[in-house]
Amino acid sequence: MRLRGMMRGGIYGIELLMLYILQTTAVMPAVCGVRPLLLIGAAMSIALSEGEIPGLAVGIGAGLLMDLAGAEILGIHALILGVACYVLGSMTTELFKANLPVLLLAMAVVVPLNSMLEWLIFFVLPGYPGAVYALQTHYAPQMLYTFALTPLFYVLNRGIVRRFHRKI
Amino acid sequence: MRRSHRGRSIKALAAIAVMLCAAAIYTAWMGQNGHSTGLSSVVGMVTTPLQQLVTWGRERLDGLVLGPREAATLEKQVAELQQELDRKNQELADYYITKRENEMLRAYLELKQLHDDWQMVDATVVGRDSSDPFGGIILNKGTAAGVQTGDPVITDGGLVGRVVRVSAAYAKVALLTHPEVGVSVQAPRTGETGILTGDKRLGDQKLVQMKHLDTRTHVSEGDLVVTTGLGGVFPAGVVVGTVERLTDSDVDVSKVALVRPAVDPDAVFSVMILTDFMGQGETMDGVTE
Repeated sequence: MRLRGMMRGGIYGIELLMLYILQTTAVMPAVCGVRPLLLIGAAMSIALSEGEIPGLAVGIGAGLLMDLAGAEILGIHALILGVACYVLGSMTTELFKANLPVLLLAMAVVVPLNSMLEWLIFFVLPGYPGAVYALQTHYAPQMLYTFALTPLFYVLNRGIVRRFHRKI
Repeated sequence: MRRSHRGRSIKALAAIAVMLCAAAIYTAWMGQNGHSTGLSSVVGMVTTPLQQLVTWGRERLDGLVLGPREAATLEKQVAELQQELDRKNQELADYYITKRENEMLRAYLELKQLHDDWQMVDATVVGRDSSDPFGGIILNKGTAAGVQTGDPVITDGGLVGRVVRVSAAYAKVALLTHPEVGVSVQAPRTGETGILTGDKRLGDQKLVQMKHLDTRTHVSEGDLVVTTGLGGVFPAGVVVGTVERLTDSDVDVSKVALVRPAVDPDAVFSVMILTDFMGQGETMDGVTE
């Protein structure tokens, strides 16, 4: 049982690292000039299946990777994703079934929340000109692009859970 | 009876031989003079199309019907040629990469010879920050290579930006289009100075603005813009870009020159980080920052 958990942890770690590389190397095609934040969808879909504590760990890990990619404040994404993944993990343990509609609903809340906070903290508060323009041309398309990829992560991580949960 | 029959046969044979000899001599004589005989023409009219048809058919058949040995040989040859082609393609790719690196290193060497006070660290662009609306880049060199926050980043084409965050192994660079990267610049043709900054809207058009120009500025389209070195953040004389057009400032009566940066950050894969240069960190009043 412990070995299975370690294996899943290792696979999730590799998945997040690969997605971090994809997110930061402009491999993903740009849509409307923006690229998606892959780590959010991955962390949330892992939290959906794994529950609150592993979800919290994955959220913090993915958030730290996003912070490493260039955020001015180290830990801001780790905080947002850590809390979001913890809440989603505990909700799917206590209240909801861990399925795609629940994940989509959670992403519909977390992705805009993350982008709006980024916009406020890194664009509006420093007083850069063109805040509304940036929201329209960068943050909003990025939210939609990130959200649109959610089913991919659901399928991927569902596959990992099925493969490594209780079969070894 | 039998003897007379044989005599006729011999005569007939001799007659045919004579006729053939005559024909041979005639055709040889005609051929020597570049003419064809009527007979050969007639024969040729019939045989040539047939020959062509047969040759065409044989060629097609040769292509279709191969013995197992020939087919195996050809397959082997095709495989060998494909391998050879792949190897040549790889060599060609290596050649182009090496050529580009050579050109870049030569350009940097020239820069270094021009500015012997510059200490440079070469770095490769390993990432682009998706969450940064101004499109920052991530380099593969950090404090372990002597890179510090604030170090200018250049290519042989001109200024790219400034290091804004650094760890042991990587550095994040804010590009000229970022509002935080203010550069003291001048147009060498007129000697007029200004401050170069970016914003999101202009950045999407790959433009930056040179602010605080006089209302009667002589700066015009096509003018080169270089760094002044004032402020100690960037060395003097680094090319920044060229003026695309002039416009009025939104906030005061001054003019603003819209400048197209000399370096397109989307096309940059290798840069130099200036870790030290004469005047670095010195402000205008001589106080070190």
